[in-house]
Amino acid sequence: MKTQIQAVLALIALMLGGCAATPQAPVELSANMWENNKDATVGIVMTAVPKPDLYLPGANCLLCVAVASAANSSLDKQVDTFNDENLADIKNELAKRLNQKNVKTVVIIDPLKIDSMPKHKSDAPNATPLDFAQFAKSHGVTHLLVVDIRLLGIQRTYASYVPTSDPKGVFTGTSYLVDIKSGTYQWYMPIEIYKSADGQWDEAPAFPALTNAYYQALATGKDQIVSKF
Amino acid sequence: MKKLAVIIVAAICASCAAPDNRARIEHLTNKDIIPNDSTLLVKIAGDKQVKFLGYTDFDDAGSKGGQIMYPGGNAGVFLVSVLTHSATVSSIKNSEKQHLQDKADEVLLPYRSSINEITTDKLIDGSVKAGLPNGGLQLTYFEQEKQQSGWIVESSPVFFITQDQSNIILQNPVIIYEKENSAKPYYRNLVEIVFQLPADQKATSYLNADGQLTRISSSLFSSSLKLSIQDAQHQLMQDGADKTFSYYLGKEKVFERGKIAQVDCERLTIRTLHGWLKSVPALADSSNEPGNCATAVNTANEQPAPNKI
Repeated sequence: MKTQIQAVLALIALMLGGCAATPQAPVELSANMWENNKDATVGIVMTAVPKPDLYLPGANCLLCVAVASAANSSLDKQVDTFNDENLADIKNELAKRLNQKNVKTVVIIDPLKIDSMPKHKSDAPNATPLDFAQFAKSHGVTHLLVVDIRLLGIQRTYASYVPTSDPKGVFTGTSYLVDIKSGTYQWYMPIEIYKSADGQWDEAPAFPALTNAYYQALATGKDQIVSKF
Repeated sequence: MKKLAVIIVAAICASCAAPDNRARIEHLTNKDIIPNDSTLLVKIAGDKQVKFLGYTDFDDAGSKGGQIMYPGGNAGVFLVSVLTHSATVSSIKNSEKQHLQDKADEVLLPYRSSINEITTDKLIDGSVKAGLPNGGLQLTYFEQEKQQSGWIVESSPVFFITQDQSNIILQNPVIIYEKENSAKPYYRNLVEIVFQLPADQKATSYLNADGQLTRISSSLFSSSLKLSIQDAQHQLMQDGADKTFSYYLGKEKVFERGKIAQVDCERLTIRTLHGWLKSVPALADSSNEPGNCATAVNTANEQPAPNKI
């Protein structure tokens, strides 16, 4: 009996250990990065920029979604008018800044499709989970600077039917610099920006305070990435 | 089922609004201008003591949310549980925001005695003495007991000190109306002025020195009246595309969406999405050389230019 219990506990521990992958910690860009890599050529690529949207996490049941969507329908209409301020142009801004440091760059026009990237298995510290070697072959780059935007727009959290926060401008994602040869992060920065409306948010139909919060989140996110270079 | 969904939506939408110390005002303008030889009587509504608050945002307010299981014996039980949950969450959100504001107000403690010296009479006095540029319209004191006629410019200024104590922000709702027609405002707007303390000064010793906070507050108030009157007289820019502008609050770069209303070497005035006016220190142009005038729009990684008000 004791052996059986121990076996079950060991199995549970194994399953839980397998489920929880350690999230990647931020990696600071070394001050000597470009001095130590004078021959580097950096490819700059982005995942497809999401269309600004209204996110209602926590309203997970079907009726919850219907209720939350109905309650926020006029806000949703306003979010449809938002633009991304040509966010994809951040690649050119990054290239300009790196060029000013005498770093060669290649701006990659096609969006990066993370889901179809091959996996990279390594136990090295700060190893990337994806294999970016194809970019070395196709674009002749030694490093890859990736901007991956996940959420862009307005987010309002829910607990089933009940809103648990005011809507906020949201900009989330990650940006990182990969040494393709070693398959490791030279820089890794998660981005989580939530901007509340300055004052009352509920001002249908134009929601000026929330619209401002969205553009603040967008500009702050962009500035956080660009200012690292 | 549809009826239940409608009831739930209505109940949740009726949640109480959170406490908000920021001024709210609907922008109103007039196609005509105030005759150029007019006198404007300066009045401040409310107490003699000027209001100061700690500046905060509510970016971190609210919970992450998540799925909740409601008891669902019947529709009535279910509805009551949703309403109870909604009221509880609303109360928690309001309480959280009030707590954040109370915490932010702690930044005022070192300045209490300087703040207590600032009265609305001093603000009015400063603005009347500063006057308005370019002659024409005149400012004078509104005196309740006198039978004055003419135009009244009435406001209720609130000052904020940022948490890093490097900025003072004035939010001043301004209404202009004719004394004989007070029920029908001629002009109404919210004017915000952001002042940046000199970078080489320690905030407490600088602001507490010999009436300094009173002088700065008076100057900000005077600037806010000037801007609102210029706007009422259609002297500021109205049109143009919405853009996102940047400026510094302390060391932090912040952003505001709107149109340019006025720009000079040292300050940028933005017409926000509400139609309000926000005057901020200009960012120095990266190509600026000593003695040259800088243009203030979206330059990153520059040190904030010391601003005069």
